[in-house]
Amino acid sequence: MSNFKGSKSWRLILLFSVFALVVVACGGDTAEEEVAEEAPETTAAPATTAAAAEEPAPSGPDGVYKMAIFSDPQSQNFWNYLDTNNDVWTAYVMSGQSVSLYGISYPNYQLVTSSASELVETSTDNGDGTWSYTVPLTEGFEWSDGTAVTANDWAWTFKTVKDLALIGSWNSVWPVGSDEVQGVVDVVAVDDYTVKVTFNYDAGLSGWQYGAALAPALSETYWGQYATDRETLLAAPADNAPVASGFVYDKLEQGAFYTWAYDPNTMYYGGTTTIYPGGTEFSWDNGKAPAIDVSFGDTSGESFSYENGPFVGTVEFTLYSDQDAAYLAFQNGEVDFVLNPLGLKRNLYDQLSREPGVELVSNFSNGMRYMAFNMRIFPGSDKAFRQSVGCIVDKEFVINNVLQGVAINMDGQMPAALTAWVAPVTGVLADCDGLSAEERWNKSVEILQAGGWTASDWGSHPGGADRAIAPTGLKGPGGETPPSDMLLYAPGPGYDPIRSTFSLFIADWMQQLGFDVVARPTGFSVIVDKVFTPENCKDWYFYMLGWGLGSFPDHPEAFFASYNDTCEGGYNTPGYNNAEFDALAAEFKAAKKVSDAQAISKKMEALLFDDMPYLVLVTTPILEVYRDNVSFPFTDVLSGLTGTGSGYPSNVKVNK
Amino acid sequence: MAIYILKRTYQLIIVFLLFLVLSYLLFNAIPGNAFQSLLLNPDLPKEAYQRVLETYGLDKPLFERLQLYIINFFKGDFGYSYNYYPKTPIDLIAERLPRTLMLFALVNVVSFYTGFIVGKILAWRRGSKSETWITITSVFSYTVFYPWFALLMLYFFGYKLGWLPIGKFIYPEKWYDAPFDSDVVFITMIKFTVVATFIQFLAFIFTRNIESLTNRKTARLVSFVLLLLGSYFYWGSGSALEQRTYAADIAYHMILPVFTVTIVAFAGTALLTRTTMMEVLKDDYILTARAKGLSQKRIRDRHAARTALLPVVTSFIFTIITIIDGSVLTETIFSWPGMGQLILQSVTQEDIPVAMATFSFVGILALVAHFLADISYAYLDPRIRIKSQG
Amino acid sequence: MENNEFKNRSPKEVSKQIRKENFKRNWLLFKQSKLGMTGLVIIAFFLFLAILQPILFATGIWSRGVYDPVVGYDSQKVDLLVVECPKEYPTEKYETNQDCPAKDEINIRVLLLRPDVKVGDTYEAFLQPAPPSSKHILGTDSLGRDVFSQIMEGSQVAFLLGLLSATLGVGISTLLGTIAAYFGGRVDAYLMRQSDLVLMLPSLPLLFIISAFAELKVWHLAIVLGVIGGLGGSVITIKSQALQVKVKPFVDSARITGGSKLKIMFSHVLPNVAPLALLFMVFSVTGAIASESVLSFLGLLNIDMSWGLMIYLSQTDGYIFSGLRYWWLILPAGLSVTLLAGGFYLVGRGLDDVFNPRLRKR
Repeated sequence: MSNFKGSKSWRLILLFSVFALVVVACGGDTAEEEVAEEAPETTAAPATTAAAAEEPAPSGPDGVYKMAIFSDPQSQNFWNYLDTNNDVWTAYVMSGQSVSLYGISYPNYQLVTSSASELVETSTDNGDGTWSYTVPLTEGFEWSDGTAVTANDWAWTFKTVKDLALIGSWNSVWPVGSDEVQGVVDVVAVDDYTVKVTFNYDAGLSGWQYGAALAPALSETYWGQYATDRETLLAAPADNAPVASGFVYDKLEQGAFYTWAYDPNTMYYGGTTTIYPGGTEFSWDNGKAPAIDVSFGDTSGESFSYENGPFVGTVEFTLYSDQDAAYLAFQNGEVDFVLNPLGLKRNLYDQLSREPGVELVSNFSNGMRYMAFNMRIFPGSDKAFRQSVGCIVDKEFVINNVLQGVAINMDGQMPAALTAWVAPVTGVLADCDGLSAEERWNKSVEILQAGGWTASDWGSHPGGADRAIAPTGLKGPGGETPPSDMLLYAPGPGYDPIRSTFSLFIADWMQQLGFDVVARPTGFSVIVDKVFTPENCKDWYFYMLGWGLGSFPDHPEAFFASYNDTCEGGYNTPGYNNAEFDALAAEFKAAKKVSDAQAISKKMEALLFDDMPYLVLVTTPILEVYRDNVSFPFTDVLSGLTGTGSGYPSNVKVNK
Repeated sequence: MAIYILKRTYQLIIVFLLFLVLSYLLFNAIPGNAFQSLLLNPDLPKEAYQRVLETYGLDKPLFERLQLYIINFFKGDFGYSYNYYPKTPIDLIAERLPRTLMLFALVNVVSFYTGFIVGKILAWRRGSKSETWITITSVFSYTVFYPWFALLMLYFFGYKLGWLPIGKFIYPEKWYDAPFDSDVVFITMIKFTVVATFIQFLAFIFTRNIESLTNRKTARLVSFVLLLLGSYFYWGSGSALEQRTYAADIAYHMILPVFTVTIVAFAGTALLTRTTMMEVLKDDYILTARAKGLSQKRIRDRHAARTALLPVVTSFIFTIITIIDGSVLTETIFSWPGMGQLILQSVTQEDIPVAMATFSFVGILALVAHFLADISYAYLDPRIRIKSQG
Repeated sequence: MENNEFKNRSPKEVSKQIRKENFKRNWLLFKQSKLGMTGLVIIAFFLFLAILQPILFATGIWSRGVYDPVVGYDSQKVDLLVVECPKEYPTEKYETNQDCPAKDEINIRVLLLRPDVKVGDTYEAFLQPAPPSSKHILGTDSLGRDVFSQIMEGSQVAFLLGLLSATLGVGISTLLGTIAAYFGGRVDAYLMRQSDLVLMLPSLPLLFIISAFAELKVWHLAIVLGVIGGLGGSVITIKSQALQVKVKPFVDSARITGGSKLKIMFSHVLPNVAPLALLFMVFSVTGAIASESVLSFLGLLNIDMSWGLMIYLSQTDGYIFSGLRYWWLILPAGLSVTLLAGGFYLVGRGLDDVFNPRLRKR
């Protein structure tokens, strides 16, 4: 036996040697070898730094702002990004390769000018079925390659989108108008600094101010050479593309990290922004860029100001494919901020609040989760049925007790933060608010009875927390029996515990009302495939999904106008069909002033509260964390720091 | 033999064709498609989605697409990735493969070697108390819930102790000024590792027949030191010198994943080695060897272990596939984007061209490995060899 | 004695008797294996848990509303004192940053969405996840569900999944392996290539694809895992074992006495392959349990409850790096997967000793 021991250790030594061989021999011990290895480095590195040093860089900031991302960006090419490669990770690392006429200022979601010199609100009727907006540009803006930003860039960008038949999101930012489609038919450079955008309809806020005026335009001088066909343009190198921001691409290491570097020659730095609750003021004079001093909206009330950056020399995006690892690295101080479109989970947030050097941010997300009824088939087609479900569902109970406040109740279509848009809650949701389980059940039965439903036995509610004795032999107003085993499709607990929990409770409540509804945890793509495919528009009873919303809340029109019915390829999945609503929707689409749009939107919502095509459930908070060595100009903003400014790389300050 | 190989090759091609068709149909059976997320953008005009499908040919009937794909496949045209357009699946594989190869080749070698040694000890200590305990420990390290274990390792070594990096394969700040991509360094490292392992293996074979234990030890030590010296010179000159610090950075990031996977994976090999070795130990020729009065150790190392290696080697050949397709869990948890992630991601996002290309890539390797395993097994095992001759 | 007994019985009963004896002898052998017995005890423990839960519900000791592993809910209200945690530690009240907030306190920093709450207020909250108590011996999860009940449900899932898939898989592979060995030629070639085909498909993505286009319940998944396992590599191994049996003298003699091919296969070859098949079965239980938990962990399965899902949920909720503070959310489920899978593996080891006489003690 003694023989073995020696042998065992020999084997172990060998084993470790093989391992060590690779580890040690590969690089040598880094500490000792540092001296030797400097030689090749110095030949390459100083050349660039020396060149940079000669320039009298305008207070070139240094410091590194590090952000974690969870997935490899699909491309660095802006054309490719808006084509079909438009996931959020691509959006985050996309440097400022485009300009637009208008912009949105956060955190107040105020419409402001960007390249344009004024907000144009009136269109001219050309008399041939087209309407045009003519916008003057601010003179003096330049791309990072030194060429001027001119009206030509808009005309050329639109022409390229149209001629090369770009697809994907290009069709939503620059919808090309045709006989069937309402959209932009032409963009013309009247002179170098005047853009004329022509629509084939009289576009309102969603088509113009929050549509084409926010659409990107790119530099013709650089991209023009690649614009021969879609593939060439999308494959064109973007690392040296001209940008209209303080940062340019630096090092792109696939699967590991991406960096932006401060461009010492940029004109895009400095300026002061003042934010009011309903307005924004902007003054900018750094001597390089055109001097600007403008204000938008209502500049009264409490305000705060901040200086614009960039304040960092390098912006780094590091890839962590595991979220836990990313937050562990954050806790370790390896990254300053984690770009997480969904925000972090409540418990992790609580835990990180214990860590020194961690700052917390919480905001509402700009979105909603909902359950839809299929109004094309019985029983979803019956208004009393939908209202009774709306009444019996005790959202507060699920939210406060079961989900422990990881979600926030939402009744209407508008996020609470958009106060001017929010309509007062009416209908059953208001009537049943605050009722106990027993009262809700009784009220729901009343609604059914009033709606012409019959039952052989209406059952009863024993009161308290117990389940009700469900009605039996339930028949609709037309005498039809509701089908059995109706499925409620909702994402599984692995994908989204909130919706999955809701689906289980809602199915149970409907059972207590005598409807045989079963919650079925279903893959996200399966639900989407089922409910958004025109051929399947009658193949489901209920489903739960969510919507992320844009900066202009024009979604009720898209979701509920009858001409958008999913059976014909639109987004109106419930098949809601109300002439009164359609008329309001048309009015909304044509509205050119925000206040008009808000008034119409409230009228639309009143109809929705009564008809209940959706049962809107909740919205979620967006919880974020950052290290206290960085500071943001503001942190309270609907949809969070990731959702609005991608971590605000050009405004963040880093002190190390 | 030649007829056998010919027949097998013919079958191989049929199986591969079937495999292609089957995979294609499977991918298309998943509901939805790669561009479905566009459906969730209400600002998108109705027919824009249809145009996307047309552009990528997804509007054609399934059979037509399948036919087109198979024809193009044999022309060497694998199409474009849907998610990373205009990259091709080959571009993506070329980017991911070196990372996976380097990590998982090392992981496999280390865990097999550890497992083989532990298994040998287990078999020899049969019946003893320590055997029971070692076995039970290795069984539970084999069945431990891996993702949980890996995350804990990351937490402990990466965060609590702070000795090793928290995932990733490089430190970004060390690579800001790197004049080349990490893949270049990976390829150099793979080349180096293959050559070094081969030399080490040769040294092993040549010193095996040295009778005296001390001489053998010395000989192996000398060869090892020579190899170390050789690698020192290799990394101290030419293009390798430039890449040295970067390679060291990668090697440093490899320690934790290799260590973690080894703890979980070695037990499988150990238990297999134990079983086969115990069977062999009872075989007649070992009894003869014993009767001849050969030392225990010599029996163990020269006779028993070598024969017991056979099934272990076979199972190693089968696991070579995992070197290529990696492990999604390891790659995800340690932020090591490689083939495993690429395969799973392409499937879940329905990036059919990439999914097909990666599936066929792995499939071809699996087929060839089985084929070689069959033939070499028939050739190596004396029992089978004698039978086939008779 | 034995002879006398045999005399009075029909041949059928005799063979039954022999089988009984065989079983007894094997059981004695198995009992000697420490590994096997350890495994058996572990399996028995989880089997007990799996059976206990329906009994508790049926007898009314547990009410569904509180203890149901999926929709049950129970939580106690607690009053928390709102405090502001200091930036620097230690302070008089708190030693380290982990001590603040203390058990009955809440940090005002996490209440950013409630601007009405001030430091010093009492904040009413529901204790979720709740630590173990006499009512919930393993505490509750973040949705107020009983963890112990979930562990029990999880073991039902694991047994159903493991046993069903293993039985099915081994059934298929034994049958196919024997057929391949016995008939040889084209049948053999076909079956072997079929195995190649199955082995070529990467298993995790394959399972994802299947779960994406078919609604997978636990027993569906069991069948899928069984079929994939049964058509794959084990056919090859079983075949090689059957080949060795095929050339044994008693098979030849049966052939000479005119037994039909099918009969010989079923009455002579199959029983001799059975021990190896049993062994395979036990090991594939381990594989099935592991596959399910990994799929659940990646969020690729749509089932209501399982151990893998429990871990997945506690991970996505951010409890996995909380050290031991929330141990009841992580340890029970993680250990259950490890222990049950290991238990089956150990039983397999024990059986190996029984059926492989050459591996027994010297």
